[in-house]
Amino acid sequence: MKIQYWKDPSLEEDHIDVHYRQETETIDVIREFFSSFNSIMGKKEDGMHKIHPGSIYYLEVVDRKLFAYQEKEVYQLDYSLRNYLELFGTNGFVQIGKSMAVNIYKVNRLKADLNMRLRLQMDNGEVLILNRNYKKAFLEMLKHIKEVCYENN
Amino acid sequence: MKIINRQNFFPIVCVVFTLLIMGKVILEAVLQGLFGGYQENILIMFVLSLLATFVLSQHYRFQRLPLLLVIVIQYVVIISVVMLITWAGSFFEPLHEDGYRDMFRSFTVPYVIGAVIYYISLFYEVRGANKTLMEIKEYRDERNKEIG
Repeated sequence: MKIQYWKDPSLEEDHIDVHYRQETETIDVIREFFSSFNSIMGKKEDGMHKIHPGSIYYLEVVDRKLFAYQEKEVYQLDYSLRNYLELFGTNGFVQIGKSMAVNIYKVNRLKADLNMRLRLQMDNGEVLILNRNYKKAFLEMLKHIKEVCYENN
Repeated sequence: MKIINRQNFFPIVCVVFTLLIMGKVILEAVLQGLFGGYQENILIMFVLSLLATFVLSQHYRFQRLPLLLVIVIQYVVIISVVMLITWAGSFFEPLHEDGYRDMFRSFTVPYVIGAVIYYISLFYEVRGANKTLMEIKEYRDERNKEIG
């Protein structure tokens, strides 16, 4: 495999593109290696686990501790909610309440009830409440992701 | 830098209009001694606008309550104050026999129209957001298929 390094100070961000003809074991290893860059450590009773931000459905602060909820598992993270959103906000995370943030990619649909309360139905069936104060930010994030999708197309 | 843009154009028109009308009423009262029913109505509408805006601005304090309940609470507070002002005003000037009814209508009709528009716009917003969510999911599914 040919590997080239390009130094360009004018770049806005360092990036890596992998060009391949077909899926091979090497490509899988490369993908696994680079995805580990984005992994974070989550604490559970049985110890520390490596988790990928993309697998998190939502985050909640309970007793000043940040918890990450996956489809079935819950981990404690060593971040504050604000800190986490600064680092991984671009992964689709947006605040939906004072102590809650959701991964937009894991939201199945929105529902408004007769009391005009917005509910987020998650892919795993859980339902979260979207606080009215954060509705605008949520909808803007959704719009932004859609625009990025169209740009990439 | 553009001072007046698409976002603040209409609010600026409202502010300029209010300043002109209030300036006219105050100048007429001071310079010409004119202060009749017309000027009084304008002032009352201004006070009611201030009051309604203040009550609506307190909306954020009721985040934990269902919005429908918040709308009802705000309506009850504002209409009570409107009736109180009308009643207090009747000590200074005789009130028309339909005065209370007219004040009730003048406030209730626009408030209900505003609430209905807000209600409908929310459902449209939700429908639009669900469509976007669907499009994003389809895009990601296609991309995941391409990656394998």
